[in-house]
Amino acid sequence: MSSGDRTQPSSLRVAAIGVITALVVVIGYVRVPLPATQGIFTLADIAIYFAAFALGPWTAAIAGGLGTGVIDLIGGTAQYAPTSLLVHGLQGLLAGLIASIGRGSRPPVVSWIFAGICGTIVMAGGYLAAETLLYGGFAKAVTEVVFNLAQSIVGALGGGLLAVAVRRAYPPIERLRW
Amino acid sequence: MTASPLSIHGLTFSYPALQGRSPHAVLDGISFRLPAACRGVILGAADQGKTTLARILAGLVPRFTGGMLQGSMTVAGRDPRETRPFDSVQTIGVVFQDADEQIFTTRCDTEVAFAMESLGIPLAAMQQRVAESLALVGLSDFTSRNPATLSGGEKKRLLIACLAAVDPDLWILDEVFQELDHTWRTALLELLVTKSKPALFFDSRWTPLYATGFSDLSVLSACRLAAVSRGGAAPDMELLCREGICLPDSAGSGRPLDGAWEPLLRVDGLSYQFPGKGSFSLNVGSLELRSGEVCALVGRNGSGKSTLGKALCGLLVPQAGTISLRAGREFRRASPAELNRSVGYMFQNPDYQIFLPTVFEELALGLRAAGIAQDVIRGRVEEAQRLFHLPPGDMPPALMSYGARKRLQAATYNLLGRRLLILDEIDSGLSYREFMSLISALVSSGSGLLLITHDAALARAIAHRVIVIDEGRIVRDSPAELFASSPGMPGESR
Amino acid sequence: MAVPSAFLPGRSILHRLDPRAKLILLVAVAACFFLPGPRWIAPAYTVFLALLVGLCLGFRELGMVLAAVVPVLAVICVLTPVFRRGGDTLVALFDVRLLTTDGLAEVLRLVSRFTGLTLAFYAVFRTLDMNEMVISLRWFGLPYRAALVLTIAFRFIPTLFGVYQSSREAHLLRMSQGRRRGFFGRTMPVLTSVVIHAVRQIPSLAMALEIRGFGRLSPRTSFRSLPSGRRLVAALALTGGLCALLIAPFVLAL
Repeated sequence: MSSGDRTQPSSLRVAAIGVITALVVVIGYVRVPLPATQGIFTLADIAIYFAAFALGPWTAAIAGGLGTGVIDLIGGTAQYAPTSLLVHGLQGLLAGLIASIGRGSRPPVVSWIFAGICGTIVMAGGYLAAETLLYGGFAKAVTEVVFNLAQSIVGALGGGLLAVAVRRAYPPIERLRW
Repeated sequence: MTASPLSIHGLTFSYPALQGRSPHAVLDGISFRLPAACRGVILGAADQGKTTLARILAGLVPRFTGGMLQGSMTVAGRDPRETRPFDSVQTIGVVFQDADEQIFTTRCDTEVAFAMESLGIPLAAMQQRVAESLALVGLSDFTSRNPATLSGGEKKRLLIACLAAVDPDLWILDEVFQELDHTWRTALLELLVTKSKPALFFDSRWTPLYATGFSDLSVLSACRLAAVSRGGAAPDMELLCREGICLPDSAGSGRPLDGAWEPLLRVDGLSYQFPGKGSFSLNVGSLELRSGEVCALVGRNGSGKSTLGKALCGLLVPQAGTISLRAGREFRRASPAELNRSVGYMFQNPDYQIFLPTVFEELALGLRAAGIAQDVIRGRVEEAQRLFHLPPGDMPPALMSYGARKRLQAATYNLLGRRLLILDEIDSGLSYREFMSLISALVSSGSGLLLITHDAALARAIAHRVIVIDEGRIVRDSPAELFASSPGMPGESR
Repeated sequence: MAVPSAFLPGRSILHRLDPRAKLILLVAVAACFFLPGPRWIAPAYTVFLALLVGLCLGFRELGMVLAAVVPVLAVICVLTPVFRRGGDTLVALFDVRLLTTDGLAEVLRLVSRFTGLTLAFYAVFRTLDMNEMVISLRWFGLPYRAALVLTIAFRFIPTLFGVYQSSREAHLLRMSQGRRRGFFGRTMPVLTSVVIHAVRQIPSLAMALEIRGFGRLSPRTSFRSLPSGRRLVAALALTGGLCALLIAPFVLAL
């Protein structure tokens, strides 16, 4: 009698991270109807937080970093790719680790809220530091902090709602978590 | 006596229980033996477990899905449960039913080469085998092309090339004929005969090729396997028709009753050009569709079937011409928003619209948006569940079988009460019986149906009228009885 | 929603340069914008990069890149002097120092750096196919599994774009009656359908990888690779020479 191998094969992890990376890119290209924000406000964070809440910290970290890096590479802002890789990777990792606390059959709302706050701080702070040190300087960095904060907060809220909706509609997603 | 490449005895399998439900039984004590160097086919309606069985034989289930598997099996000399699939690359080759699930690179040549890279085959040998394999399937000019841009049939051919490159001992082909035309089906069979390769095909529809090139035919139904033919004997066609796997001989057998249909939608001088110089354009001089009438729109890939369908439901806005809807006794030009509300479009993939956690919520969504009272909603949902044979209302749609999701899709639109429904290749993956049952249920509400299909036999059997489209123009519009098959007719696939 | 793609096919020097050389030079050029040195170097390199992009990709492309960064440069020009008020006053209004020599120098430095980095990355990734980028990264030591993840991602990006588009249409048709919902009310159901579709593919994709041999312990060979031998040596020698030229002004200024 065979009931299947319980450990997650590496092929499943590679497949999951590859597909979720593509998902981050696609969701990052959904146009938000806000004037004068094209290119600096995206919904990619929704995908990153979804991955953090539903699939775990490692998928969120790798897919979040790679996905936003790819968005920069193919979208004409390649100079931000290294920063996005690092900042969004850390955002996904931290949010995923905190969100895993108290995980059970019901979403741990408190953990998710705290994960969103910490992820937002890492993301906005990371871009603030990168902009100041590497790109346009502190003045430019400060003008974008508000957009980055909004993007991450919207991402955390949207990612949480998406995670709840997908978990209810497709329960086997739990098997892809690591 | 040469050993059988495939032998299973008493195989029983059930998927794990989900959300407090009992485990889903798929196979119950099935036994089967494929003689050496022979080809067998296992037929079955959608959701009878064909793909599950194919993946069990390849060692993929229950490894990746969980579940309880009992019984004995020997596939290419080994029990698939005792080896990892990556160690069976040269012994078992599989083509999945859905080609998009099996393609994972961005070039055709790297797709074919992937398995050879895994085997450590030297570069020179790989290059030669890639070239030969792509030539075998007529894709020599596609070496650097992205597989995502290929048609369904081309993707299936690419996957066949992937198998040909490593030349496994046993070929397992899941619904591979569905998207191949007669030429390539014959070519595939010739390839297998030339190489003396044993192969096991799975299909949900009968094709005459199965009567001539196969030694063993079986039907998988209600978890059991029944022999249809052994050793090349004539198959039991009555059994196949009862299972809905082949069309009855009489043309029009599945056709809903004729009626006095009222004109519903008119097209005049419709013109739509895709952006870009020299790109495809749609030009339809005139067309009339009627409520209650079943029309089939047939044509080759790229002939404009889906483009016309999307223009009729307002998803594409034509650059010229009008689409009018009947309002009382007159016809009035309809805006895209009005077309959205009056004409439904059922995509080939039912999953584009599934997002809610239960069948009840999916069915009720549109009714709630229209402001209908809750008690009325409950009654109409229950009626739709009966009419379309849907699972209990608390079942998550995303966990339902493919056929059930298709029926849910149809039920959703039925509840919305659209006057005209466009069904885009929704027959794929369904048996004839299931598809005809779906059509009957949809027509019972009085809607007109426009079936987009490239299955000309199905079009003749089920439609009142057949419209042929080629290169963006309607070339023929006639009653189905007059639509006789002839070689070269656009859209003839079986 | 068009599928974006940075690569612009062509036959310019940049297109023909070995991808590994391009990536090494990109790092070198980027580093130059951060090294301490004479003030003229950053603007000079920026002008050179602009000419390179114009000649290799066309001046229309150059115009598009510069137009895209103008808003950012405007922000830098307006706000940077507010934070840098050292040195001599150049512009004052009612005893308020609006622009000083330090402020102007900082503006020039940041404008040059931001524009130069943008042009450098643009020049490389506009002439580098993503498949070649993955192969190059493998040559630099990127693990095979990481490269496969990127390949899978590039394979699924256009597919999921198509799923998003079709899901939007399916939801639009289904919800065309009733009150019009806001952006997130319309988008979240679509995203849910897209995510479910994507997640459902994962186990089948894993199966597909394994039946084609992914996971075997024996070493893999490689069907596609970059030139080696003399061509590689020539490319690396050229790269080394160019890097030396880039860094020379900094060394001479010491």
